[in-house]
This record gives sequence, C-alpha cells and structure tokens, in this order.
Amino acid sequence: MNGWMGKMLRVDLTSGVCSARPMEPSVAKDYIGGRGLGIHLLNREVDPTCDALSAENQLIMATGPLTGTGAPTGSRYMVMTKSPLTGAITCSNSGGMFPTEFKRTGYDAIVFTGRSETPVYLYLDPETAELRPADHVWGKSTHETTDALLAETDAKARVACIGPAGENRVLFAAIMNDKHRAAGRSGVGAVMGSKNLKAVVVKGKGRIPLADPDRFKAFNKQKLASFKKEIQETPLGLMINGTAGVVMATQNFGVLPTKNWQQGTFDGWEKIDGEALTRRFLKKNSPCYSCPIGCGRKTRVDDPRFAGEGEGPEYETIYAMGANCLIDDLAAITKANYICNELGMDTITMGATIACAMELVERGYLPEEEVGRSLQWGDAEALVELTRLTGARQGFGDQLAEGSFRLAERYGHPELAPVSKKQEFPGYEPRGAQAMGLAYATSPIGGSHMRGDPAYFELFGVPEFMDPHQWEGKAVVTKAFQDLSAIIDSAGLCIFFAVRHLAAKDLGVAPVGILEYLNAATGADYTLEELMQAGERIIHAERLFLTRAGFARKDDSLPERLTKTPAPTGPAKGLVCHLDKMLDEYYQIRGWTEDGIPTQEVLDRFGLS
Amino acid sequence: MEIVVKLYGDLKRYAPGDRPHFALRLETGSTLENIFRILAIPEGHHTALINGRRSSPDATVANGDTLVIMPLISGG
Ligand code: SF4
Repeated sequence: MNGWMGKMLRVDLTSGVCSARPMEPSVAKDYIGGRGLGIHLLNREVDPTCDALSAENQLIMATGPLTGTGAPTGSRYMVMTKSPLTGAITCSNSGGMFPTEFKRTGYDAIVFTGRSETPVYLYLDPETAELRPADHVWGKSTHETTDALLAETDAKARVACIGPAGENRVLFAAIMNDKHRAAGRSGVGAVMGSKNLKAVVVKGKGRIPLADPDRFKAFNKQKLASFKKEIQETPLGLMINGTAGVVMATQNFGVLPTKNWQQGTFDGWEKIDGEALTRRFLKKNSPCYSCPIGCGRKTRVDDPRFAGEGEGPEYETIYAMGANCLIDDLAAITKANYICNELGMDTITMGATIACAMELVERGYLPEEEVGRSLQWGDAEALVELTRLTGARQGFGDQLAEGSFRLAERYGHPELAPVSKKQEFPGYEPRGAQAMGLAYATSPIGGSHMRGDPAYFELFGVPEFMDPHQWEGKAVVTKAFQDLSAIIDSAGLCIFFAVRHLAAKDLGVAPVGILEYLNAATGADYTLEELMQAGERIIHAERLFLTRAGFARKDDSLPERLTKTPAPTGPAKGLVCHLDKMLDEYYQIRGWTEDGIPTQEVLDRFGLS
Repeated sequence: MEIVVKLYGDLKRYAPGDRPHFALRLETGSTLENIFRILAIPEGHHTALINGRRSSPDATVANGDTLVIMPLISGG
C-alpha cells in the first residue's frame, strides 16, 4: 500500500504478545485512517457498555495516510478508546514529531488490549515490537520519563507517555508526546494508566511510500506557494500570537467564557491575550512536523512565584484557567499549564473544574475547609496549587480529579458544571455563537469544538461569516463542518491548515485540497463524493457506538445556564442558546430519529448494519 | 456625532494619536467605508465590529457606538 503502511500492531498487554495484522484496503478507503480507523476498530472490538478503566477496553493509536508524507501539517495521530470521563468515545489527537516517527516504524496503528500486571512500555521500531519493564519510570513526570526512555533506547526515538495523573487515573489525564504535545481530552491517559502502560517509544526508518510522488510534490509546491502568498497579504494571527490570539476575538464578540460560564466578557482580557503572551514569555515558535504555521509556543516565565519553562499556553488553557476563573495573571496560567504538561493532564477540564469549584464555594455549597485552602474568584495561587494536587490526587485534588460534573454533583449542584456528556466545554460561549452550542451537544466526545468547529464560520469568517447570534441555518453548516473535521482527523492533518487552505472557500465546505493530497499519496482514487461520504460514515459509526452505550437526545444537552439564562453582558446580552430548535433540524439532516438514533436506512447506506 | 474606535493588533498603527482607543467625530450617516478612509485603513484583512456585531463596509454607525477593528483571527 502507499500512503498507508498497510499493517497494524496488536499489543496484548495481558499476555505480553505483540503481533502484526494487515490493514484491509477496503477498510482503509472507507475509514481513511486516524479517527475513522479508530472508530471502526472500536465498533468491531469493544463492548460500548464496558468499564472504560477495565481490561476489556482497548486503546487505539492511529496515524492517517497523510501523516509523515510532507503534506502541510501532516503530523498527527489520534487516540481512540472508551472515555472514563464521558462513557462515550475519545478522539484525542496530537501533533509534534511522535506521530511521524510512529508511522515510519511501518505501522498505521497500534491497538492495545488487556492489562499488564506490572508497569511496562512499548518499544517499537521496524524490526522490534516489545514490552519492556517501566517500574523505574512509574511515578515520574512526562519530562523525566521521556528523558529516561530516550537515554536507554535511542536518542533519536520519540516518546508518548503518561505522567502521574494517568497512573492515578485522573479522569482527564492526557497522553503527552514530545514532552509538550498532548492528546489531551477525555481521559485517554487514565485508560493508559489503567492498563499499566507508561509509554510508547518509537524509532522509524525511511520515508512513507507515496503512490505518485511527482503528482504529490507538484501539488505540495503549488499549495505552499499559495499559502506563502496569502500570508504575505494577510498575516496569520496563529503565526504571530499562537492560538492565544483568539482571546481578542472571543472577548470582542462577547463569547469568552468567564466566571464559570456565567458571562462572555472578561475585563482583564488584555493581560492574558496572545499579545501579552508574545511580549512577556515567548521564546520561539514551535512547529509540528511539516507545518508551515508553527502555532506552538516555547515560553519561559521568570516571575519567581511561577517560574518555569515549557510550551504553551494555548487559547483554550487561557480561557479555562484565566477568564473562567477570573484570573488575569498570565504567569500563573502558564505555570499551571506547565504542571499539566508534566503531570499529564488536560488543561481545559482542569481549569473548568477549578472554576466550577470556585462557584460552588461562592454560593456556599462547598465549604473552604473541605478544599483545605481559600478558593475565591481570581486566586492565581489556588489555581497552581490545586493543579498540582489534582495530578497527585492529594487532598482536595482527589475530588477535582473527577472533573467538574462529578464534583458539582457531589455537592448537590450538577447544573453548575459547564459540560456536555460530562466533558467540559472549550472556550466559546454558545449564547453568542449559536452553532457552537449545537457542536458541543452533538460532538461524540462531549464538550468539544474540534469535532466540527463553528468558530470558523461564526467568528473567523471561513469560508464566510455567518451571524453568530442566529440559530437559523446553522444545523446544515455545522453538519458539513463535522463531516469535514472527520476527514481531517482521519487523514492525519491539523485542522488549522486544512479548513482554511484545503477545503476550498469558493465551494463552501469541499475538501478538494485534501482529496488531491490523498489520491496522490494513496492512489486510492477517491472521488470528492466518496471522500465526503467517508467523513459522514465516520460520524454515523461514532454515533452507533454512542447509541449502543446508551446515549440519546437526552445526552445531547447543554446546561440551563446557556439555554435558559440570558447572557448578562457584552454583545450577546439577553440571548440564550436555541439548542432544541437546532437539534431537531440537525437530526433530520443527519438521518437520525427525533431521539438522535441513526435510522436503519442510514446504517444500511453507509455499510454499518 | 461621535463614536469610540478601538484598534487592536497591528491595526493600532492607524490610530491618529498615540492611543489605540479614541473618540472620533463623524458626519451623521457615516459608513465603515468612510471611517476606513479617514483612518487610512486598507480594505479587507480585518474584522470590524459595531457594538460587538460584525459589520460590512456599507454599515452605518450611530452616535455613541463602539467600533472595534481587529485583525482576522483563527485557530484555537
Ligand atoms: S498549526 Fe499548530 S498544531 Fe497545527 S500542525 Fe501546525 S504547529 Fe501543529
């Protein structure tokens, strides 16, 4: 095969046996790879009702056919498993250098099954696939683990690992690769920890085979040239200030979630936005493999209270740990981000859970004695200390480690948790960006924007601006963006390049650029229609898993804070999110019942029966 | 009439004085296009919000409005 490596590695952690399996060409074409391949395997092999932290669950790491090919941002891999946070699936993807190195070992995907008795790590190169003892790195941070495993294997290898948070089964533990990049969301690190799998070390060789290298090169040259020309005309905010630049946009549109999602504007925003980050802490940009954008930030904080060095923060971290906690101290936010990276935790859920705890304290539902310290709005030191305690599950950190929903429920007020399917939202307020509410509610992983990002058409004007306050007409565009994101996530690309530059503005959402790259790389001769169908198939396949796990319309929900309480400040003042109306339309367009269940006709059409 | 203009990012350099936020006196019925011309801001490549609502160049401003002009942003 070309583009695809043509085989998968199955690692039975219970018996310690590693075995190669061929990748079926029809599965490759129908599900593309990455996220699509992941859901295909989950549906085939994992009982959707199983306990996510039991040996029955499987952990799948999958690259896409464009990963490592040299296509712009073709740097990604996907982690799919049943989530311990939501009970639904995960779709946690990450870039950096690890995914390309992984694919160069000759495998498109690794499937971990069972559970090891003792801590182990997988060492993988084209000739070797073996589980090795990891007792000596158990308990170590992600940075220490990475350094130790590189020293004992190969300095040029790449490492993905969990930190203490994953070992302690923090429900939102991440898998970190290349030290600073995170497959962050939904607790993939906790699943890895539950399997006693500390790390995956990969060392590849050679190039990814391409079906038509000349065609691929010619198209790549043309795309990169037009990208260069475009950024000369319109400097790309992502390159200048990283994703942190988005604070300016969300604040001015009135959709920057603030004070545990009570409002969409934050007075202290200029102290925590991308310009402040660039001015105060940026050392240099940090691109993933083969990325012309380079949105990653290498940063250093000298402030003695919060001194440190690492990468980040991203926009999402700044919203969750900053505005959402009324914290305008960028040094503290950056420090808490470093701690999350070292302990291996998702910064969004961490920040959102602390904000929720702050509100529980303010309203008198959670006594500060239980927290073990004061926890008032804006307390930067509390943010840093509680983040540390959470990774270790020490003191009150043990409760924060369960995420905001379980915390708020324990104190009798689940309505204060900013979640859909028990996962915390990213940083866009749906009262002032209506489609975002629909995207959160229908995302297969719960609160997430990355599975079809309406910020593009509601706030960024790609392919065109749609009024963010209107709910009418949003279901159809959200559906189209969800299908597109399934293609991007499965191909092994990053959404930041692909949406704007490979999904052709003038055609609306039509991934013609991705199509050309895919065909040149794989020789699979996709038509545009087949590719779009593959995107849609993946969404239905995911929904099938959720349906079997017991999810339905009741779970495609938002807290009443967003659907019943009008926004109190900013441009969206007086508005609520009209989720129910959008949902009716959305299910109809999807071919799902009023209750959000895929119909037999749809399952038949996509070969999912 | 008078509006408040707030410039952000690299658009700050089009501020008439040394402050990126300033009051601007205008003729009644002025459009965004008129304002861009007054401030010598080239077309495109930015987002203009009148009171937080994205507006096209032919939109008119009213006395007391706040006009934000910021670079196009994406990602996150
Ligand atoms: S845009 Fe950012 S996240 Fe995406 S591939 Fe490039 S550096 Fe990585």
